[in-house]
Amino acid sequence: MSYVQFLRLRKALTIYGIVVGGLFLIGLTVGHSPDAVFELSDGSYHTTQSMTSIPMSGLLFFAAWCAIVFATVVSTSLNKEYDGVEMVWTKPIARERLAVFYILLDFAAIIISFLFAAALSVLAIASIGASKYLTVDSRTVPTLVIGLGAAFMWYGLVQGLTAGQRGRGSMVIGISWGAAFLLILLAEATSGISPPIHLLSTIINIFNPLAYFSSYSLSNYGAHSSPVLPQALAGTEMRSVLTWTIGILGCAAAIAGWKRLEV
Amino acid sequence: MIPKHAVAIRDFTKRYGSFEAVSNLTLEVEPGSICGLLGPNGSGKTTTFKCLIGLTRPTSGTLDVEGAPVQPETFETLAYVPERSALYEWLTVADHLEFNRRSYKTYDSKRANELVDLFRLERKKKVGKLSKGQHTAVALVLALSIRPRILVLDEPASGLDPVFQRSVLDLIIEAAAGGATVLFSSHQIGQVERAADRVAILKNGKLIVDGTVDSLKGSEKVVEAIFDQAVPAVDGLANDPRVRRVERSGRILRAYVKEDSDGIARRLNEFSPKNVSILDLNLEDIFINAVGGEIPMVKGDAA
Repeated sequence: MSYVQFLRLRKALTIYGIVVGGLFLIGLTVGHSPDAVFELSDGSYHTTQSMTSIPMSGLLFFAAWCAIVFATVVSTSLNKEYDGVEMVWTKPIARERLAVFYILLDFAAIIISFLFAAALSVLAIASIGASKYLTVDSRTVPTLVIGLGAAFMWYGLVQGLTAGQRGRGSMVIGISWGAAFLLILLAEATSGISPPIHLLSTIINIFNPLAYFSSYSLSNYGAHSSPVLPQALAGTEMRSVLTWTIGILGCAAAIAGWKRLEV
Repeated sequence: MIPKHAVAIRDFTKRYGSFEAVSNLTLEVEPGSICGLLGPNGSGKTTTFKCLIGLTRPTSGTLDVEGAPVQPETFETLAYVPERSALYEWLTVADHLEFNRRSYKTYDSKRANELVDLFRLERKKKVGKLSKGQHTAVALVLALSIRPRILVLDEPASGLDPVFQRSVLDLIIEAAAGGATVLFSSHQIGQVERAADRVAILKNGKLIVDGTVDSLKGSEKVVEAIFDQAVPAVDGLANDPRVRRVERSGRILRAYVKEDSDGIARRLNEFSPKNVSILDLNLEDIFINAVGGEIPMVKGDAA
């Protein structure tokens, strides 16, 4: 029943693979040098010779970013069906069941996009002979859980906002990226922003996937003087639970909206 | 238990805000029959179909297929061809067939291939590169390849050339001969007259004509008089309560008669025409009579 969505995702993953793989190839070709300099998650700089360890969390952070981009691209799958809805809604399957299949397929594709980027990162490290320095650090699991959680949260939020309406899916994706960065900027600004606006932006950031993920950025991890989320959400466990919960709620809203939609 | 009606629409009303798209429509279609739904644009045909198959919800009334409102399982045996193309432009014809194969237990690949060949469709061609008529043809192939018991077709011959239009009518008739119930709309009155055994005409969301084609054709007559010279003035004919309307065309006068066609023929004979004949209405006459003015509902015999 979700054959068309399978074909759609296969096409999206192929394009994603070509783009990400191509970028990696270009990066390796241009940047491959015995004296290549790497910036690690703790902010320190190393060359291949001086390197002592490469934290896995750094690679997963990159892979999660790729998965987040891919997740937003596929996050309007239910909205996209509006044009052919007479075709899918006249198949012998309940709408909500079909929507669940779509979401599960999308999620599987998001994980594939994550694994693909992670594998490419490992390959890149191996290609410069540094794979022996790759270590599983303490932030590996949180980066994995929150990174994929942020991707799923973004997917769920866009899906929830667009599934019950006709068209405008791409517009919502674009606005969501703009809003996400703007809210991070407002929350991170330490001067020129009045405290109430700063507080408001940190509260709104509860629904901003980037806010959960930015704390794990390679360059600023642990260095936040101005948290982008309310202090109550500082814990890794709380952030993990929230990203996945908001993602699930967004998907539930999407299914309900899709079921109610009339054409 | 087999329901008496394959499709039963009762007291169906659909409003969009203050606009009433369909008003209190009751229409019952017997199993194995072909019902043609006619009406000008905006008369409520597509809205009726959409509510029948659950794409939109009725404001009031019931719409049943084989005795119950449409459920997901209903679509194992109900096929719908929408007025506008709902195909995926980026997929090929073969992809669409595969989608159908995976979706229906009743999918008949042999039948699908026969229909693809009949409409001369290229399996590997993307639907986005097909003409409007070929879009319709693909939609028909998908609908007929599951050998449905109920076929709901909204403008099924739209965009097709006359040869393929004829093929579509043949397929509709063939499906009904095989036991399927067909409910279809069309602007081509000739198509409906040829295929349908039952006709319903909608105007402004209201059912104004409903009956078998034969009973509707026999319900009124046309008295046609041909003169050697110009048609003479026949005083008071247009105002005669037995006459619906009068048409003059060259040396021919046609009176559309509600009752006593013999009496009207006798009256025209007084003007010494070359020939006077009493004819059955054709479906186009019935349609024009029905939608041309504010006319009360004409009820023919049920099938």
